[in-house]
Amino acid sequence: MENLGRVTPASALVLKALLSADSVWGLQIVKDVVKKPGTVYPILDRLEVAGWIQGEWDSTQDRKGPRRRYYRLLAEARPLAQDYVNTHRAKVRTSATRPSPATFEGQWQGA
Amino acid sequence: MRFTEAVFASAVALTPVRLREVREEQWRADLRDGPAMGISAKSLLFGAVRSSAMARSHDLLHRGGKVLSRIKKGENLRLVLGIAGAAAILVGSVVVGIQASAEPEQAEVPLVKAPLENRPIGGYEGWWNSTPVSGSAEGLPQEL
Repeated sequence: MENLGRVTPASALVLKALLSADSVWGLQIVKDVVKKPGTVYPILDRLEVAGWIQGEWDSTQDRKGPRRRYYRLLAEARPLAQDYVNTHRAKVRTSATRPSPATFEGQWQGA
Repeated sequence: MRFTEAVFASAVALTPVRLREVREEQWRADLRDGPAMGISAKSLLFGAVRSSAMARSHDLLHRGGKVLSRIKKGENLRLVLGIAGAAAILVGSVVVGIQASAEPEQAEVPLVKAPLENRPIGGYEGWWNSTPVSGSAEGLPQEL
């Protein structure tokens, strides 16, 4: 399993979606993180190449035609993924509570 | 429909061979089921193209790095010799081209770059070749 290096907020959201279940359909992740497939697909590819996730085919037989691709976060990657998600969550919380230049102690200073 | 198929085919063609089959089936399933989930086919196609381009560039970088590291280790002697030979041919052809295009220098035509008043006009120096307003040439230097 390789180190991911810099993890973007979108990557953290994808990891969060992957942590939510044992195996998640790729399009379900796109829907959960509310990002475009152009953002999510490359993140999934990167995670797969780095050995964090494993792609597997939908095993249900009742659906005909091309099979859906599901992604499973590997057991050894789960604690690291959780760390990334927690770090991202803390960052979001900090930026949400930080006063903007127009506020003082959280109070609006405009006219 | 034809445009969608063309974009889809391009995305599949761009994908590295080892991933092509998997990605094609995955994207076909996504294109079939995506619109029902509120995800447009257009954005799915864009995602497929972006993903394939990134996978391809990652592959190229990875392969380039591998070749370099093998050269550093002294492996791939044939490749090194080939690159060195190609570089020598390229440098030689450039040198020959430069020499062939170089022509002997032409004799320069002397140009008079003196100030306007010092230029010879009809055999006289410019400032002598004028007559005072009074019309009298008395006191002026005379031509020998």
